[in-house]
Amino acid sequence: MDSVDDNTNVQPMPKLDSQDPVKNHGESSAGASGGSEDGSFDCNICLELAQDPVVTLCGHLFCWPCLHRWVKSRIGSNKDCPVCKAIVKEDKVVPLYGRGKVGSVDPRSKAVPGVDIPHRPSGQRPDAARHPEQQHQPYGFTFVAGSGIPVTAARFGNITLSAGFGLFPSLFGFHLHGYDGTGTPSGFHFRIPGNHRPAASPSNQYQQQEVILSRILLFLGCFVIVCLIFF
Amino acid sequence: MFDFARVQKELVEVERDKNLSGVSIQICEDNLKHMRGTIKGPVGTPYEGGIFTIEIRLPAEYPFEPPKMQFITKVWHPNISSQNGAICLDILKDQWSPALTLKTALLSLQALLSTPEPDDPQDAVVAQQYLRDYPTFLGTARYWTETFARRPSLDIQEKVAKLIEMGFSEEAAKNALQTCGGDENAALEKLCNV
Ligand SMILES: [Zn+2]
Ligand SMILES: [Zn+2]
Repeated sequence: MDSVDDNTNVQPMPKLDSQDPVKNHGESSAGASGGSEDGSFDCNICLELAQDPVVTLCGHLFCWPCLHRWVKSRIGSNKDCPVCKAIVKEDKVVPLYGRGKVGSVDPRSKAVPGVDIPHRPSGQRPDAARHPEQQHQPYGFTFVAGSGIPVTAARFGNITLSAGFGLFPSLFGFHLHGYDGTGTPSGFHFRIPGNHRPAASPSNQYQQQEVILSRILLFLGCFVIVCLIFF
Repeated sequence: MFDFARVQKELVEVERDKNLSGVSIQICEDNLKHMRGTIKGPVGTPYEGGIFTIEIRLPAEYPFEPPKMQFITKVWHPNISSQNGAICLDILKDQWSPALTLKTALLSLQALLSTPEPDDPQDAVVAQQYLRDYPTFLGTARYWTETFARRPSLDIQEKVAKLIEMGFSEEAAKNALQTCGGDENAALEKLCNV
Protein backbone atom coordinates (compact mmCIF):
# COMPACT_ATOMS: atom_id res chain seq x y z
CA MET A 1 0.00 0.00 0.00
CA ASP A 2 2.64 2.40 1.01
CA SER A 3 3.03 3.84 -2.42
CA VAL A 4 0.27 6.03 -1.11
CA ASP A 5 2.51 7.68 1.38
CA ASP A 6 5.06 9.23 -0.87
CA ASN A 7 2.83 11.21 -3.16
CA THR A 8 0.58 12.54 -0.47
CA ASN A 9 1.15 14.84 2.38
CA VAL A 10 -1.41 13.89 4.93
CA GLN A 11 -2.86 16.65 6.96
CA PRO A 12 -3.40 15.87 10.61
CA MET A 13 -7.05 16.49 9.93
CA PRO A 14 -8.22 16.24 6.37
CA LYS A 15 -9.71 19.43 5.10
CA LEU A 16 -13.31 19.58 4.07
CA ASP A 17 -13.68 19.15 0.35
CA SER A 18 -9.97 18.85 -0.08
CA GLN A 19 -9.11 17.39 -3.40
CA ASP A 20 -8.42 13.77 -2.93
CA PRO A 21 -4.78 13.36 -3.85
CA VAL A 22 -4.98 9.65 -4.44
CA LYS A 23 -7.79 9.12 -6.84
CA ASN A 24 -8.01 12.28 -8.85
CA HIS A 25 -4.86 12.96 -10.72
CA GLY A 26 -5.39 16.54 -11.67
CA GLU A 27 -8.54 16.43 -13.72
CA SER A 28 -11.52 16.11 -11.51
CA SER A 29 -15.04 16.43 -12.65
CA ALA A 30 -17.37 18.33 -10.41
CA GLY A 31 -18.31 16.28 -7.44
CA ALA A 32 -15.82 13.55 -8.13
CA SER A 33 -13.80 14.41 -5.10
CA GLY A 34 -16.63 14.74 -2.69
CA GLY A 35 -19.14 12.34 -4.16
CA SER A 36 -22.59 13.57 -4.88
CA GLU A 37 -23.93 16.59 -3.05
CA ASP A 38 -25.73 14.85 -0.21
CA GLY A 39 -24.29 11.40 -0.63
CA SER A 40 -27.47 9.93 -2.09
CA PHE A 41 -25.51 8.39 -4.94
CA ASP A 42 -22.44 7.46 -3.00
CA CYS A 43 -21.29 3.88 -2.90
CA ASN A 44 -21.98 2.33 0.49
CA ILE A 45 -18.51 0.86 0.60
CA CYS A 46 -16.00 3.43 -0.66
CA LEU A 47 -18.31 6.37 0.19
CA GLU A 48 -17.54 7.99 -3.17
CA LEU A 49 -19.91 8.70 -6.01
CA ALA A 50 -20.62 5.19 -7.26
CA GLN A 51 -18.51 4.10 -10.19
CA ASP A 52 -20.01 1.40 -12.46
CA PRO A 53 -23.03 1.68 -10.20
CA VAL A 54 -25.07 -1.38 -9.37
CA VAL A 55 -28.10 -1.74 -7.15
CA THR A 56 -28.91 -4.85 -5.18
CA LEU A 57 -32.44 -6.23 -5.05
CA CYS A 58 -32.71 -4.72 -1.59
CA GLY A 59 -32.05 -1.36 -3.22
CA HIS A 60 -28.60 -0.51 -1.95
CA LEU A 61 -26.16 1.26 -4.21
CA PHE A 62 -22.54 0.23 -4.73
CA CYS A 63 -19.71 0.53 -7.17
CA TRP A 64 -19.54 -2.76 -8.99
CA PRO A 65 -15.84 -3.22 -8.10
CA CYS A 66 -16.57 -2.53 -4.44
CA LEU A 67 -19.51 -4.92 -4.24
CA HIS A 68 -17.66 -7.60 -6.14
CA ARG A 69 -14.72 -7.34 -3.80
CA TRP A 70 -16.99 -7.62 -0.78
CA VAL A 71 -18.87 -10.65 -2.11
CA LYS A 72 -15.57 -12.28 -3.04
CA SER A 73 -14.20 -11.69 0.42
CA ARG A 74 -17.14 -13.53 1.93
CA ILE A 75 -16.10 -17.04 1.02
CA GLY A 76 -17.55 -19.41 3.55
CA SER A 77 -19.88 -16.87 5.08
CA ASN A 78 -23.09 -15.26 3.96
CA LYS A 79 -22.84 -13.09 0.92
CA ASP A 80 -24.97 -10.37 2.36
CA CYS A 81 -25.72 -6.76 1.63
CA PRO A 82 -23.27 -4.61 3.62
CA VAL A 83 -26.10 -2.26 4.53
CA CYS A 84 -29.08 -4.47 5.36
CA LYS A 85 -27.67 -8.03 5.38
CA ALA A 86 -30.07 -9.25 2.71
CA ILE A 87 -28.63 -12.04 0.57
CA VAL A 88 -26.82 -10.64 -2.44
CA LYS A 89 -26.37 -12.60 -5.64
CA GLU A 90 -24.00 -11.08 -8.13
CA ASP A 91 -26.11 -12.11 -11.10
CA LYS A 92 -29.15 -10.48 -9.54
CA VAL A 93 -27.74 -7.00 -9.12
CA VAL A 94 -29.12 -4.30 -11.40
CA PRO A 95 -26.64 -2.08 -13.20
CA LEU A 96 -27.50 1.59 -13.50
CA TYR A 97 -26.93 3.14 -16.89
CA GLY A 98 -26.95 6.90 -16.68
CA ARG A 99 -26.47 9.31 -19.49
CA GLY A 100 -22.77 9.63 -18.89
CA LYS A 101 -20.19 8.45 -21.33
CA VAL A 102 -20.08 4.71 -21.65
CA GLY A 103 -16.85 2.88 -22.20
CA SER A 104 -14.55 5.77 -21.45
CA VAL A 105 -12.07 5.04 -18.73
CA ASP A 106 -13.20 6.45 -15.46
CA PRO A 107 -10.38 8.47 -13.91
CA ARG A 108 -11.30 6.95 -10.60
CA SER A 109 -10.95 3.43 -11.93
CA LYS A 110 -9.65 1.25 -9.22
CA ALA A 111 -7.14 -1.05 -10.69
CA VAL A 112 -6.61 -3.58 -7.97
CA PRO A 113 -3.44 -5.53 -8.63
CA GLY A 114 -4.05 -9.21 -8.30
CA VAL A 115 -7.80 -8.83 -8.17
CA ASP A 116 -9.58 -9.47 -11.40
CA ILE A 117 -12.87 -7.64 -11.47
CA PRO A 118 -15.25 -9.11 -14.03
CA HIS A 119 -17.52 -6.99 -16.13
CA ARG A 120 -20.49 -5.52 -14.44
CA PRO A 121 -23.56 -7.74 -14.95
CA SER A 122 -25.78 -6.43 -17.69
CA GLY A 123 -29.37 -5.41 -17.18
CA GLN A 124 -32.13 -8.01 -17.34
CA ARG A 125 -34.45 -6.51 -19.86
CA PRO A 126 -38.06 -7.65 -19.89
CA ASP A 127 -39.86 -7.79 -23.28
CA ALA A 128 -40.97 -4.51 -24.70
CA ALA A 129 -44.59 -3.69 -23.97
CA ARG A 130 -46.84 -4.78 -26.88
CA HIS A 131 -49.28 -2.55 -28.70
CA PRO A 132 -52.82 -3.10 -27.36
CA GLU A 133 -54.13 -4.27 -30.77
CA GLN A 134 -51.53 -6.99 -30.95
CA GLN A 135 -52.73 -8.47 -27.73
CA HIS A 136 -56.08 -9.37 -29.29
CA GLN A 137 -54.50 -11.03 -32.27
CA PRO A 138 -55.23 -14.65 -31.29
CA TYR A 139 -58.87 -13.90 -30.54
CA GLY A 140 -59.19 -11.53 -33.44
CA PHE A 141 -58.31 -14.35 -35.77
CA THR A 142 -61.05 -16.52 -34.38
CA PHE A 143 -63.83 -14.03 -34.07
CA VAL A 144 -63.12 -11.24 -36.44
CA ALA A 145 -60.52 -12.00 -39.05
CA GLY A 146 -62.04 -15.41 -39.69
CA SER A 147 -65.06 -13.57 -41.16
CA GLY A 148 -67.16 -14.92 -38.30
CA ILE A 149 -68.88 -17.59 -40.27
CA PRO A 150 -66.75 -20.69 -39.95
CA VAL A 151 -66.46 -20.35 -36.21
CA THR A 152 -70.05 -19.50 -35.63
CA ALA A 153 -71.01 -22.36 -37.86
CA ALA A 154 -68.98 -24.64 -35.74
CA ARG A 155 -70.68 -23.27 -32.71
CA PHE A 156 -73.95 -23.79 -34.39
CA GLY A 157 -72.93 -27.42 -34.81
CA ASN A 158 -72.31 -27.55 -31.12
CA ILE A 159 -75.63 -26.14 -30.23
CA THR A 160 -77.45 -28.28 -32.67
CA LEU A 161 -75.97 -31.41 -31.28
CA SER A 162 -76.48 -30.48 -27.73
CA ALA A 163 -80.02 -29.36 -28.40
CA GLY A 164 -80.91 -32.61 -30.05
CA PHE A 165 -81.04 -31.43 -33.67
CA GLY A 166 -78.38 -33.89 -34.64
CA LEU A 167 -80.35 -35.54 -37.44
CA PHE A 168 -77.23 -35.59 -39.51
CA PRO A 169 -74.58 -35.77 -36.87
CA SER A 170 -71.88 -36.79 -39.29
CA LEU A 171 -72.59 -33.77 -41.46
CA PHE A 172 -72.44 -31.43 -38.54
CA GLY A 173 -69.44 -33.22 -37.19
CA PHE A 174 -67.69 -32.67 -40.47
CA HIS A 175 -68.44 -28.99 -40.36
CA LEU A 176 -67.24 -28.87 -36.84
CA HIS A 177 -63.88 -30.41 -37.50
CA GLY A 178 -63.46 -28.74 -40.79
CA TYR A 179 -63.96 -25.23 -39.62
CA ASP A 180 -63.12 -25.23 -35.98
CA GLY A 181 -60.01 -23.15 -36.13
CA THR A 182 -59.71 -22.85 -32.40
CA GLY A 183 -58.22 -26.28 -31.97
CA THR A 184 -60.85 -27.81 -29.74
CA PRO A 185 -60.39 -31.56 -30.01
CA SER A 186 -64.05 -32.22 -30.41
CA GLY A 187 -67.17 -30.26 -30.96
CA PHE A 188 -69.28 -32.36 -28.66
CA HIS A 189 -69.48 -29.91 -25.83
CA PHE A 190 -72.83 -29.60 -24.17
CA ARG A 191 -72.57 -26.03 -23.23
CA ILE A 192 -74.39 -22.81 -23.66
CA PRO A 193 -72.90 -20.36 -26.10
CA GLY A 194 -71.26 -17.41 -24.48
CA ASN A 195 -69.62 -19.00 -21.53
CA HIS A 196 -68.44 -22.17 -23.15
CA ARG A 197 -64.98 -21.07 -24.06
CA PRO A 198 -62.62 -19.79 -21.42
CA ALA A 199 -60.37 -18.47 -24.13
CA ALA A 200 -62.98 -16.00 -25.25
CA SER A 201 -61.55 -12.57 -24.81
CA PRO A 202 -62.76 -11.52 -21.40
CA SER A 203 -61.50 -8.03 -21.87
CA ASN A 204 -63.82 -7.25 -24.72
CA GLN A 205 -67.41 -7.73 -23.64
CA TYR A 206 -68.82 -5.79 -26.53
CA GLN A 207 -67.15 -8.07 -29.02
CA GLN A 208 -68.37 -11.09 -27.12
CA GLN A 209 -71.97 -9.91 -27.09
CA GLU A 210 -71.80 -9.33 -30.82
CA VAL A 211 -70.58 -12.83 -31.37
CA ILE A 212 -73.32 -14.34 -29.24
CA LEU A 213 -75.96 -12.34 -31.08
CA SER A 214 -74.71 -13.45 -34.48
CA ARG A 215 -74.68 -17.05 -33.27
CA ILE A 216 -78.27 -16.86 -32.13
CA LEU A 217 -79.31 -15.34 -35.44
CA LEU A 218 -77.46 -18.01 -37.36
CA PHE A 219 -78.94 -20.68 -35.17
CA LEU A 220 -82.45 -19.41 -35.85
CA GLY A 221 -81.71 -19.10 -39.56
CA CYS A 222 -80.45 -22.63 -39.82
CA PHE A 223 -83.32 -23.91 -37.72
CA VAL A 224 -85.70 -22.38 -40.21
CA ILE A 225 -83.79 -24.00 -43.09
CA VAL A 226 -83.86 -27.39 -41.38
CA CYS A 227 -87.59 -27.03 -40.80
CA LEU A 228 -88.15 -26.11 -44.43
CA ILE A 229 -86.22 -29.16 -45.60
CA PHE A 230 -87.87 -31.70 -43.39
CA PHE A 231 -91.40 -30.42 -43.08
CA MET B 1 -4.76 -2.02 -1.10
CA PHE B 2 -5.65 0.42 1.63
CA ASP B 3 -8.57 2.71 0.87
CA PHE B 4 -6.87 5.91 1.90
CA ALA B 5 -9.60 8.12 0.45
CA ARG B 6 -12.37 6.44 2.35
CA VAL B 7 -10.62 6.80 5.69
CA GLN B 8 -9.98 10.46 4.97
CA LYS B 9 -13.62 10.92 4.16
CA GLU B 10 -14.66 9.21 7.35
CA LEU B 11 -12.40 11.45 9.39
CA VAL B 12 -13.87 14.55 7.79
CA GLU B 13 -17.33 13.36 8.77
CA VAL B 14 -16.33 12.53 12.33
CA GLU B 15 -14.74 15.94 12.66
CA ARG B 16 -17.83 17.63 11.23
CA ASP B 17 -20.28 16.34 13.82
CA LYS B 18 -18.11 15.46 16.76
CA ASN B 19 -19.99 17.87 18.99
CA LEU B 20 -23.24 16.14 18.19
CA SER B 21 -22.04 12.56 18.28
CA GLY B 22 -19.58 12.92 21.13
CA VAL B 23 -17.19 10.78 19.10
CA SER B 24 -13.81 12.03 18.02
CA ILE B 25 -10.76 10.55 16.36
CA GLN B 26 -7.15 11.66 16.45
CA ILE B 27 -4.57 10.42 14.01
CA CYS B 28 -1.46 8.83 15.48
CA GLU B 29 0.42 8.03 12.29
CA ASP B 30 0.43 9.83 9.02
CA ASN B 31 -0.54 6.75 7.08
CA LEU B 32 -3.95 6.75 8.78
CA LYS B 33 -3.54 3.19 9.93
CA HIS B 34 -3.21 4.04 13.57
CA MET B 35 -5.60 6.35 15.38
CA ARG B 36 -7.21 7.00 18.67
CA GLY B 37 -10.90 7.44 19.16
CA THR B 38 -12.72 8.81 22.16
CA ILE B 39 -16.28 8.24 23.32
CA LYS B 40 -18.23 9.58 26.24
CA GLY B 41 -19.57 7.29 28.92
CA PRO B 42 -23.33 7.02 28.40
CA VAL B 43 -25.54 8.95 30.78
CA GLY B 44 -27.27 6.79 33.37
CA THR B 45 -24.54 4.14 33.41
CA PRO B 46 -21.61 3.71 35.80
CA TYR B 47 -19.50 5.05 32.93
CA GLU B 48 -21.21 8.43 32.93
CA GLY B 49 -18.82 11.33 33.11
CA GLY B 50 -15.91 9.32 31.75
CA ILE B 51 -14.07 9.84 28.52
CA PHE B 52 -12.85 6.58 27.06
CA THR B 53 -9.98 6.35 24.64
CA ILE B 54 -9.88 3.52 22.14
CA GLU B 55 -6.91 2.52 20.05
CA ILE B 56 -7.80 1.96 16.42
CA ARG B 57 -5.64 0.07 13.96
CA LEU B 58 -6.76 -0.36 10.40
CA PRO B 59 -5.84 -3.52 8.50
CA ALA B 60 -4.66 -3.15 4.92
CA GLU B 61 -7.96 -4.59 3.74
CA TYR B 62 -10.07 -2.00 5.54
CA PRO B 63 -13.04 -1.48 5.00
CA PHE B 64 -13.43 -5.06 3.84
CA GLU B 65 -11.93 -6.16 7.13
CA PRO B 66 -13.01 -4.72 10.48
CA PRO B 67 -10.86 -2.16 12.25
CA LYS B 68 -9.00 -3.45 15.28
CA MET B 69 -10.16 -1.64 18.38
CA GLN B 70 -9.05 -1.86 21.97
CA PHE B 71 -9.77 0.27 25.00
CA ILE B 72 -6.74 2.20 26.21
CA THR B 73 -8.70 3.60 29.13
CA LYS B 74 -9.25 0.94 31.75
CA VAL B 75 -12.91 -0.11 31.96
CA TRP B 76 -14.84 -2.42 34.24
CA HIS B 77 -17.26 -4.08 31.86
CA PRO B 78 -18.20 -7.73 31.15
CA ASN B 79 -17.38 -7.43 27.45
CA ILE B 80 -14.14 -5.52 27.80
CA SER B 81 -11.01 -7.02 29.23
CA SER B 82 -10.08 -5.34 32.49
CA GLN B 83 -6.51 -6.42 31.78
CA ASN B 84 -5.82 -5.19 28.26
CA GLY B 85 -8.95 -3.49 26.99
CA ALA B 86 -9.74 -6.15 24.39
CA ILE B 87 -13.34 -5.90 23.21
CA CYS B 88 -15.87 -8.62 22.56
CA LEU B 89 -18.28 -7.16 20.04
CA ASP B 90 -19.67 -8.95 17.01
CA ILE B 91 -19.40 -6.04 14.58
CA LEU B 92 -15.68 -5.91 15.22
CA LYS B 93 -15.51 -9.56 14.23
CA ASP B 94 -17.73 -11.61 11.93
CA GLN B 95 -20.58 -9.11 11.84
CA TRP B 96 -18.46 -6.33 10.40
CA SER B 97 -19.71 -4.78 7.18
CA PRO B 98 -17.95 -2.28 4.94
CA ALA B 99 -21.00 -0.06 5.20
CA LEU B 100 -20.03 0.55 8.82
CA THR B 101 -17.53 3.25 9.62
CA LEU B 102 -15.13 4.11 12.40
CA LYS B 103 -17.76 6.44 13.76
CA THR B 104 -20.52 3.84 13.79
CA ALA B 105 -18.12 1.33 15.32
CA LEU B 106 -17.24 3.78 18.10
CA LEU B 107 -20.92 4.51 18.64
CA SER B 108 -21.47 0.76 18.92
CA LEU B 109 -18.85 0.68 21.65
CA GLN B 110 -20.73 3.44 23.40
CA ALA B 111 -23.90 1.35 23.11
CA LEU B 112 -22.01 -1.63 24.47
CA LEU B 113 -21.19 0.40 27.57
CA SER B 114 -24.93 0.94 28.07
CA THR B 115 -25.94 -2.65 27.43
CA PRO B 116 -23.44 -5.18 28.67
CA GLU B 117 -23.89 -8.76 27.54
CA PRO B 118 -22.58 -10.85 30.43
CA ASP B 119 -23.62 -14.07 28.68
CA ASP B 120 -20.97 -13.53 26.03
CA PRO B 121 -18.18 -12.14 28.18
CA GLN B 122 -14.72 -10.99 27.38
CA ASP B 123 -13.78 -10.70 31.03
CA ALA B 124 -15.11 -13.66 32.97
CA VAL B 125 -14.43 -12.12 36.38
CA VAL B 126 -16.38 -8.98 35.59
CA ALA B 127 -19.18 -11.00 34.04
CA GLN B 128 -19.46 -13.18 37.13
CA GLN B 129 -19.67 -10.13 39.33
CA TYR B 130 -22.23 -8.54 37.05
CA LEU B 131 -24.46 -11.61 37.25
CA ARG B 132 -24.01 -12.46 40.93
CA ASP B 133 -23.52 -9.16 42.66
CA TYR B 134 -24.78 -6.35 40.52
CA PRO B 135 -24.48 -3.57 43.17
CA THR B 136 -20.80 -4.36 43.65
CA PHE B 137 -20.34 -4.42 39.91
CA LEU B 138 -21.86 -0.94 39.68
CA GLY B 139 -19.63 0.32 42.44
CA THR B 140 -16.48 -1.06 40.84
CA ALA B 141 -17.40 0.19 37.38
CA ARG B 142 -18.11 3.64 38.78
CA TYR B 143 -14.86 3.66 40.72
CA TRP B 144 -12.90 2.70 37.61
CA THR B 145 -14.60 5.43 35.66
CA GLU B 146 -13.73 8.00 38.30
CA THR B 147 -10.18 6.77 38.54
CA PHE B 148 -9.25 6.14 34.92
CA ALA B 149 -11.72 7.90 32.66
CA ARG B 150 -12.30 11.31 34.14
CA ARG B 151 -11.87 13.95 31.54
CA PRO B 152 -8.40 15.32 32.06
CA SER B 153 -9.17 18.80 33.31
CA LEU B 154 -7.91 21.71 31.32
CA ASP B 155 -4.20 21.98 31.08
CA ILE B 156 -2.74 24.15 33.84
CA GLN B 157 -1.29 26.48 31.22
CA GLU B 158 -4.71 27.02 29.68
CA LYS B 159 -6.20 27.79 33.06
CA VAL B 160 -3.51 30.34 33.77
CA ALA B 161 -4.08 31.91 30.38
CA LYS B 162 -7.80 32.06 31.07
CA LEU B 163 -7.27 33.86 34.37
CA ILE B 164 -4.80 36.28 32.78
CA GLU B 165 -7.42 37.02 30.18
CA MET B 166 -9.78 37.95 33.00
CA GLY B 167 -7.32 40.56 34.14
CA PHE B 168 -5.24 38.88 36.80
CA SER B 169 -1.48 38.79 36.80
CA GLU B 170 0.23 35.61 35.79
CA GLU B 171 1.83 35.16 39.15
CA ALA B 172 -1.40 35.65 41.06
CA ALA B 173 -3.21 33.25 38.76
CA LYS B 174 -0.56 30.58 39.20
CA ASN B 175 -0.54 30.96 42.95
CA ALA B 176 -4.30 30.84 43.22
CA LEU B 177 -4.47 27.72 41.08
CA GLN B 178 -1.79 26.05 43.10
CA THR B 179 -3.45 26.71 46.41
CA CYS B 180 -6.75 25.46 45.04
CA GLY B 181 -5.27 22.25 43.68
CA GLY B 182 -5.87 23.26 40.09
CA ASP B 183 -9.58 24.01 40.48
CA GLU B 184 -10.07 27.01 38.23
CA ASN B 185 -13.40 28.06 39.73
CA ALA B 186 -12.08 28.00 43.25
CA ALA B 187 -8.99 29.90 42.08
CA LEU B 188 -11.15 32.54 40.45
CA GLU B 189 -13.19 32.92 43.62
CA LYS B 190 -10.04 33.27 45.63
CA LEU B 191 -8.64 35.88 43.27
CA CYS B 192 -11.84 37.88 43.38
CA ASN B 193 -11.97 37.81 47.17
CA VAL B 194 -8.45 39.10 47.61
ZN1 LIG C 1 -17.50 2.05 -4.14
ZN1 LIG D 1 -29.38 -4.02 1.26
